Amino acid sequence: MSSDARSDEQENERRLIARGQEGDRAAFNALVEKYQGAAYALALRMLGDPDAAADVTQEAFFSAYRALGAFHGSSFRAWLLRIVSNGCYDVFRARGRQPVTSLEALLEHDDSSSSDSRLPTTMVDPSWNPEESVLRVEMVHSIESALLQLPPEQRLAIVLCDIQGMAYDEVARIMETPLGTVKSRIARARAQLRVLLTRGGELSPPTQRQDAERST
Amino acid sequence: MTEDFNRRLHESPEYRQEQLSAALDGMLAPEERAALDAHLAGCETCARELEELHQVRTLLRAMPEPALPRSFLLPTEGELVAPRSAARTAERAPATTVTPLRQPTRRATRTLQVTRWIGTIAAVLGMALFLGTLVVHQGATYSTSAPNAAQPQDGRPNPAVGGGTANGGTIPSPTHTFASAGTQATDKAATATSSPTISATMPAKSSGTPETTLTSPSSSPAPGDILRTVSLVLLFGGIVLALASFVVARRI
Repeated sequence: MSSDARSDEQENERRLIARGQEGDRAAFNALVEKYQGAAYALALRMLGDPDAAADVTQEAFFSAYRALGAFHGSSFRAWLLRIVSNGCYDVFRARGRQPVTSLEALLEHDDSSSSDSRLPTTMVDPSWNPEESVLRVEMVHSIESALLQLPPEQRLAIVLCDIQGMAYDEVARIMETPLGTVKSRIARARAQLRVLLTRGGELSPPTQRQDAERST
Repeated sequence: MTEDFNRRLHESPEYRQEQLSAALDGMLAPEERAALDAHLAGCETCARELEELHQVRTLLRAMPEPALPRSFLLPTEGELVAPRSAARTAERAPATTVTPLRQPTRRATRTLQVTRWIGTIAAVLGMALFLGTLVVHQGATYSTSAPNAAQPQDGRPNPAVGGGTANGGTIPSPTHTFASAGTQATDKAATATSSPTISATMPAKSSGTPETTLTSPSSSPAPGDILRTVSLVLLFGGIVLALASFVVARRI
């Protein structure tokens, strides 16, 4: 996206926010449409449970609409994702202690009638073509369950950074922690994922690495 | 200095992970990056670790966005009623959670609160009643030093001095009576129960010297006697109820 197009989009978004602040729900809904995918994705990766993630996402948009008057920052996306992550932490508190591998547990313990709806493969966006990606469908499942084995703070940091594509300083603002803490959480998350995914065989041995992956 | 850096990379996994991870994202200062590159040139293990961390990042970046289960658009009309996500999710937590779900139901909390209030009020009432009966007992002692105006004609102790009425059940207003009754209560409590008839008969007696009233022979159990028992029951029962509600609330 060219810088002109980006600044146009930002201007457009600012207008939508302004109208939303005046009570224009349709304008706010344009923002919902734009960010609901990212919001739901974050909630789902954090919680592992589609129903809980949907509840958190819906409540996050309600809260965002109500609190829109307090939004003065530059990144609506970061602000919204912070609301979502706070909602996820509320769920963790309500659960007492979050399960280690809830996604796998759900798959193991559900009866056949509902298990299909919980398989990560059917939750993938239909426009995604696995053949064009480095990821096979089974790998998506493995990565999702590996993410759920991380402690919540590491999980949030790595999802925001590597999946949502946010810069370190944005992650720091969303998580309301210093930059150093963010760096260390991301590092630890990646190291742990490296262990988990090596065990599961998702990391390809050096001989099969593509040259494309080498570019930094 | 490079020696320390190299050693630290190998001795501290956290330090190594942070350096490599930061390098991946271009977050190292130029001199740090140069030092790391120099190390990697000669260290196969660290080079492989960096490569694998790179793979992890690539995999994460390639994760597809999950399909939306439904639309999250706000309703354009009417009140915004958000789902109670925390409570509902708590109910749906998978059976394999390590700690079982302990979210108290609204009714349980409500019942506890009510019990707590009832207990507290009962305890306060009981305490007041009990002290009241004591004060009626004490009121007789005080009225001896008061001028003759202190003793009303019907034998009831002057409320200004002793407080209380015939039934010995109301809370006396003068605070000094309370204080003295309080300090005396511990001494008198033991004796009070053993000589309930003395103060019980007090209000009913006509005017005379308080001493004689105090030592007058007992008659059949008077209202004051029953009241004292009732007040003690209320007091202790109330305390037990209130404490129990706290204990149960902790457990939930």
